Amino acid sequence: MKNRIKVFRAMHDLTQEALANQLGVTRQTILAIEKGKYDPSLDLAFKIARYFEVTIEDVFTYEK
Amino acid sequence: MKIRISRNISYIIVAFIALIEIGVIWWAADYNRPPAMEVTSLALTIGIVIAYFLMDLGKKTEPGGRDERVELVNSKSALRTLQIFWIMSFSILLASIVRFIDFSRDIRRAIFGPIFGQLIMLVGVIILFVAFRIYYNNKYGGYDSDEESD
Repeated sequence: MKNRIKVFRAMHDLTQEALANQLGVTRQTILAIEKGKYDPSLDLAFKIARYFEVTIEDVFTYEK
Repeated sequence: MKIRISRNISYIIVAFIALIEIGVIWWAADYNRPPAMEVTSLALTIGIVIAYFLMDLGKKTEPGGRDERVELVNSKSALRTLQIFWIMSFSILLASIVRFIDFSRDIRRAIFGPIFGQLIMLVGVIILFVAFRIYYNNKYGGYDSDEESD
């Protein structure tokens, strides 16, 4: 699963720590998602998309 | 000076402290005269205080609590630990029973002895695991009937 969280973070001028605090997760989780080491749950994926006010497909792209 | 220590390191140090405590208790049981009791009590108290201090330090160094990734890491680690622990314990206990039978030539005592009791506990772990599997499978809809099978 590919994602554009880093891009959206840059657009919103947010640090990993700040985004993590907003979403109620740890900074390591944001880091792991950005690096593609951890695929978030649907719940967290929707939270991330809603936070940036975009659709989930704008943030995440499914790749085998 | 601010001391920083990660949670994993604090867990490992606490495990070593626990090992030392077991050693002290072992020594006290073997020595069995004053001041064995006093030394054991003192060692246990100091150990608990240090362990508490280390765990607290680990939490302060790595704040942030739990989230879904941490839960996943913990559950996967716990399952793998259980698997390895079970196989190791089973092998050791089986070897102990074989040695005991060989040593005492008394199969009845081996079967109804404490070693066998521990083996039953290990089997109990499997039963408990299956019970939790059924519980969580039920909780997350594993036994629900769907429209297509009705």
